[in-house]
Formats: sequence, C-alpha cells, structure tokens
Amino acid sequence: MVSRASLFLQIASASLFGGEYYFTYSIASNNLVVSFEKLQISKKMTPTASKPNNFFHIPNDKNSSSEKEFVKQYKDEIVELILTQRASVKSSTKMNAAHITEHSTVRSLPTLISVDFKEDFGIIGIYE
Amino acid sequence: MKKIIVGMAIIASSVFAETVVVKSNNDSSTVVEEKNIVLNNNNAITLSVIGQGVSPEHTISNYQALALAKKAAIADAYKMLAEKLNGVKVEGYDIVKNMVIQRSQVKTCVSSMIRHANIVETKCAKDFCEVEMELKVVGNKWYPELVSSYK
Repeated sequence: MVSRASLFLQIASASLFGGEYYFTYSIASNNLVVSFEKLQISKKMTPTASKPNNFFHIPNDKNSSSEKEFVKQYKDEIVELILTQRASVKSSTKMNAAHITEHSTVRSLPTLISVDFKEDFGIIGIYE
Repeated sequence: MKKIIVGMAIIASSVFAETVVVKSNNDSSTVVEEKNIVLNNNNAITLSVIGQGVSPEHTISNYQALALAKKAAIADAYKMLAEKLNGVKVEGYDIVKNMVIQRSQVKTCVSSMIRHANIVETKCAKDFCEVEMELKVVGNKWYPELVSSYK
C-alpha cells in the first residue's frame, strides 16, 4: 500500500515539476573543424532530494508541445548551458616545418538537469 | 644526434597581467590604450578570448554547417581560455645530422577544467563562426592556487 502510494506520488511529482535528465557531451575538432560529436541524454528514473544550483530560462520559440520535445529541440542550447558550468578541455598541437595539426576535445561530465516545461518557455535547472 | 628539449611554457603573463584594450573615439580617430591589470589576492580580472570555427566540407544544409562551425568555435574558445588560465606544456625536439637539422617539431598540450565561462557574442558568416567568451577570475580564490602551481 505504501509502495503504491509512493509510486503514485513520484508519478504525480514528475508530471507536476518536470523531468530530470542526465546530459553527457563531448566534441572533438581537428584544425578548427568538428570531427566528432556525441551527446547522450538519459532520463533520471529516481527522484532527487536536492535542488538545482543554477537556473536558466529558454524561450520556447520552436513551439515544442511537450517536455520531451522541448529537450529534443533545445538540446544544443542546454549543452551550451552545461558547458558554461563545467567543461573539461584537452588540446594538442603539432608543428612541423610543413604543417600544423591541432586537435581539441571538450567534454562535460554526466550532468543532471531538471526541465520545467511551460508553454512559452522552459526553465533549466543544473545540479552541481 | 638527437636533442630533446622539454619545457613548461608558463603563460603566467596572460593570467597575471591581462591586457585590456580601451577604445575611445576622438574626432573620427580611434585611440587605443593598453593597461596591464595584475591579478592579486584582492581583485578580479576577466579573461576574454575569441574562438574561431570553420564548417566541414560536406554538410547537409547551411544550418548544419553554421551549427558545426559554432561548436568548433566554442571548443576553440575553451581551449584558449584553458591556455590563458593554466598555461601550455611545450615540448620541442630537433633531429640534427652532420650539423644539419633533419627534422624539427614542436608539440603543445593543454589540459584544464573551465567553470562558469560565459559566451558573450557569436558572429557567424557563410561557413565561419567566431565566439567571444569571457571568464571571470577572482583573485582571492585563484591567486594562491595559480601561484602554488607555478612554483
């Protein structure tokens, strides 16, 4: 009985307060041209006790109808926000007499975000 | 004969003495003043970089080309911020045979974690993007760490 009630509360809170997602992103570039990009989004299945540390506001200009669609359409903007919070950079350059080769990698650790979708905008909360 | 020079090129000057360019217009002429601001325990400086990115050759649409150019520019900007903040490891070697250089190579390497950097401005042209990024470095938090890492 208690487990059923807690399950119902979880579902209700998820629908009321929006979902939480893990974003993991990495991008690599060679000589200022993107050569590799990987974004992994996974929905968090368990509730979080703490609250997000930073909040950002994204206007819903692309007319997303649901939270899932909002995350899908604004994934690039969300990735930018995550990278501004914490980004790991590795870069190497080789210079010969003939040419220069530059390789850079920017990665973000798996970052938990909360998405509170409204009709006209979405509020992105980033956990630290 | 092989000569290996391994050195740490510390770009301390970029962190400890940031160049700030102040522009003022006086009767249709632009005066550029440069001031050196030194990071210490009591102040904060803002590191500003402009990253550049080029779109790949084979793209589906112009939108994709611009999006990829912007992402490359962001990666370049992060790299430049890391260079300014934590410095660059430089490794160079020359191969000399019979007093003649056969091969000369310089490798540079950057590795850092950047937090709370802001994208200030994004400019995109046809297949090229520039992203201006800023990072505020607070002296009382960063100065002791930077000094200890360079000792």
